[in-house]
Amino acid sequence: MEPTNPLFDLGLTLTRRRFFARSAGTLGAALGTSALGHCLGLDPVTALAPRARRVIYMHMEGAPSQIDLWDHKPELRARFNQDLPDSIRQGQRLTGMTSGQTRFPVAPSIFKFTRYKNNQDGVWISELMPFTGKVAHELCLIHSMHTEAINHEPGITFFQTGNQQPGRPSFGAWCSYGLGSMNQNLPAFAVMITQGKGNMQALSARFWGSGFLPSEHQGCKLRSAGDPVLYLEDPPGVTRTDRRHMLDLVSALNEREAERSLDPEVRTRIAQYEMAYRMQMSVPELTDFRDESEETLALYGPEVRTPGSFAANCLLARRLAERGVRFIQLYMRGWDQHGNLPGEIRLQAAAVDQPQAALLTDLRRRGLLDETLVLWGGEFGRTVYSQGELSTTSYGRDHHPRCFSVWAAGGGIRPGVSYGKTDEYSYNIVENPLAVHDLHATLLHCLGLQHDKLVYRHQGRDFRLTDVFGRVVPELLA
Amino acid sequence: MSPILQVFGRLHPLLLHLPIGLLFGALLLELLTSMGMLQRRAFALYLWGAALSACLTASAGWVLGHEEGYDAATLERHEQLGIALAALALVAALLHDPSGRSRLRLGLARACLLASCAFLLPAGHLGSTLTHGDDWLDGPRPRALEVVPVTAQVSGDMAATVGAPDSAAPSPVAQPETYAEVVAPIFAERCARCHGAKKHKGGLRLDSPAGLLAGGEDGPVLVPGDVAASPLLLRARLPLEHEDHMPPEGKPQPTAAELAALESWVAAGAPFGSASRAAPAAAPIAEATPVDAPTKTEGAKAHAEAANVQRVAALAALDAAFVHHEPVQAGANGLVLDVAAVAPSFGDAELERLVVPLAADVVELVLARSAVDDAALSSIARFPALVRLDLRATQVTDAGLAALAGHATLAELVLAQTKLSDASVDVLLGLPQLAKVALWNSGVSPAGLARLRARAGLVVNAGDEPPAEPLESEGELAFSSERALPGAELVPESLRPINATCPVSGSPVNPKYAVLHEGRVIGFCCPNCPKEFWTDPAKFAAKLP
Repeated sequence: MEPTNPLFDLGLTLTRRRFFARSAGTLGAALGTSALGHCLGLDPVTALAPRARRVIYMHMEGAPSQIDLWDHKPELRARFNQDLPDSIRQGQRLTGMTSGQTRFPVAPSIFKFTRYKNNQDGVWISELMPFTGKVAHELCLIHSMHTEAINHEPGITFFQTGNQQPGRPSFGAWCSYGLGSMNQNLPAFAVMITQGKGNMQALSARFWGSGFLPSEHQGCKLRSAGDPVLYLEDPPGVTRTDRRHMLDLVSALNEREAERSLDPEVRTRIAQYEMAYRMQMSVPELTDFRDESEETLALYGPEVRTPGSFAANCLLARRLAERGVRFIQLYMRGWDQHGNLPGEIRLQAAAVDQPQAALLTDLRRRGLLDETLVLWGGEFGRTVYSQGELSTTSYGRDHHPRCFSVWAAGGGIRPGVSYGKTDEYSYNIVENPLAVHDLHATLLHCLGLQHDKLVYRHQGRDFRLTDVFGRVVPELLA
Repeated sequence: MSPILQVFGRLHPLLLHLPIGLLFGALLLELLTSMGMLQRRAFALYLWGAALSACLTASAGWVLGHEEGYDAATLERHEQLGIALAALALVAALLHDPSGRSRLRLGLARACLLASCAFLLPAGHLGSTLTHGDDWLDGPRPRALEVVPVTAQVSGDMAATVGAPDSAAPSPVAQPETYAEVVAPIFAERCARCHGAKKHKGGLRLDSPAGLLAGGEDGPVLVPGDVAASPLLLRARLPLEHEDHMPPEGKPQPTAAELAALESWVAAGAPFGSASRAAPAAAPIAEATPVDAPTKTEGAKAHAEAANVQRVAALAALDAAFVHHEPVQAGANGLVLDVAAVAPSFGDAELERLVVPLAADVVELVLARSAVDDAALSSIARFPALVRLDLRATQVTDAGLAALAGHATLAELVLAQTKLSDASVDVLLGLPQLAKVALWNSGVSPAGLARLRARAGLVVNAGDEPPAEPLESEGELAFSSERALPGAELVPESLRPINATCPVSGSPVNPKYAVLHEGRVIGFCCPNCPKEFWTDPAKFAAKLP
């Protein structure tokens, strides 16, 4: 939501008692909204007409193998078990997990690919993603993504915050800050996590933190089991009226403190209390799938009724999207396949393929996809050479930041195209490299934000999601 | 003015307490002395002290009076009284007879002392008026008393939406006097003590539209419509300890909400409402000062101002009802409205009350999952700038949609999950700008969809689109290392080994390790094998092609 009218808000603070007597207040709403917007005269930030109004970002934690899913290299099958040529490796840094290997045998993908019709000359997609193949005409498949990090923690941090070191606001927090919430009954930035079928890495809450932005912009994690939001239900014996009275009193005290200290975090706290109160009503309705048709549930696949599954989270993402949540972050854990990749990736891909395709289809038919920016990708790629034993049924792949594949779809993104090329080993980029900051800049552009104007002053300088980099890539735009 | 003199002047507020206490004390002591309870010589000394403190205070005050932009008339009277009372005190001390023998001198001294004390009262009051403002004595009034009637006057829009969103609110197009009711009280409370009627530091007065627009010694303080160029707001946003921060550290500071309100008011062009045309009865500050503001805001400008105020009020009503609104683009008047947060309880009445007042500006209207039905569409049909309308999962039917027939600007309609039929197809085909329509589960038949799809440039999403077609698939995969090892192609043809496997070890040949034997190039797997080979080449002949 854009900032509400401050004149009006002031009127509310002045007549606070009357205001808090209502079951739902606008003061909290107003405070929970974009701190940035045009009330501060910073209009140039949103000077572009937005094409997307919200984001669904499916992060594949652990880094899925581009070679087995998206980056088709059939010629490698004739180089099975050959050493990776030095001319390709170029002495680039490897992780400690494979730098000690005596040889780097080429491991071609053992999965068959199918070429699907898109708006170019078709796109090759692995047999692991049959449902996603059927929505190939919606995808902008980027083969030339690269990053600077080689380990998960800095890799995810870089993708989420634009910096490898922790401490910066996450992508979702920037969007909440720059665009505000569209629904004052739900957080502007929601996070959902699916446990993987394979090797999982830690997932820190700071990946959806607000860094130095006001903390109202941090992501709100919806839990998969039990209550989606902890402590949302009133304890036994506490009525909703009691709760209201308690909040009124606490808010009045906090308001006094806010006026005394002028500390924005106090008002954030008031806003959070008010939102939590409203979420007591809005969240149970949100997570109740009973109003979904059988046909829709079937679309997302058999796991849709399992809370926390990627299917359930994709359906929840659509429900959040249609309720005006600005940034929806899905995490699928377990793509870190250092060994036994063929076995694990089958399970991982099966868990995400149908739901993610269903999400695109469902958004499209409900008239939401052109306003919803969908992003899919991991924090880096995986190596063409095998980590550990190589056979035609089993191999492993190590971390590979030099090139990997991500895809985007929906609002403002050019549909049905591929972008960028890698060399014949899917090891280096040979055409149109895309840096993380460039991807961020382009996605912000789709949301109507100028990445170099979306700034927050902290410790004496302006900070941006794209740091001092970033280029909007017109080839990715519709 | 020399710095020492300036410091001396600024001691005035400190020194003035001495004569006040001492002179009134002198009155009391004179009484005790005349009753014989105090030595007259001792009293004479005391009286001199009181008189000298009064003179010192008066001179410090005189210096201070030269320094700042105090209200001239008040200052003059204050100075006159102050100097007079100091002079009277001095005369009293001079006339006073320590021996107590001259009745005449004693009488005159008493009269002067009494007069001096009498002058103290108005002088002190004027002094406090200069420093604390003219409402100092009769204040402090409880804040609520000021605010409540103001809010009541706002009735109609602001108050109605705050108090009772559900009640049938009066017309939301009443004109709230934003300046008089919200802005002026902030200036009055936070700024006017130093930049007001009595004191205008830096030549600046913030208690009237004229003063706000005129600015101070350093130029204008407000640039209507441009917050970032308005020094007044920039100074208020500086860190508290910053030298240029206003109000100065230690003075009451505006709250964040007050600042935000000022900024939004300036961003909206700093409209003064009727305050710029006539002093409104409702605004005590504006009333207290003659308004010599520009009175040329008539005609078109005034009209635009009124429209802007209406718009601000209508947007505030949306906020209060939790209806999301954002500009289609920064700086544009066009609006995107989305009722997602309150969809199930958002019906035709809410549409009429909250959205219709903004009809001219609504470019995108999202009513998905809301309770609106056909009646709403006859209102929406009159929205002149509407480009995108989302009616997904609402109760609208063919009868309602017919109201949109021929709408000139509608380019995108979302009608999925509705109860339409093929009867609406002609309505849709009759929309000149229509470029996209979503009709999944809408009741429109495949034949109807086909008719729509036949129109060039119209994209129809109905959930029945075919999936991306597979063009080719890979068959059974074969893995091999058949191709020469990387780098082999760099070896000249004449040096290419004739053998693929090492005759010594049986491993694949690396062309780097090759020897010439009997005119043939023989390859090995490693540098050690050729040594073995040379010990007895004949032994390995059988293993060569």
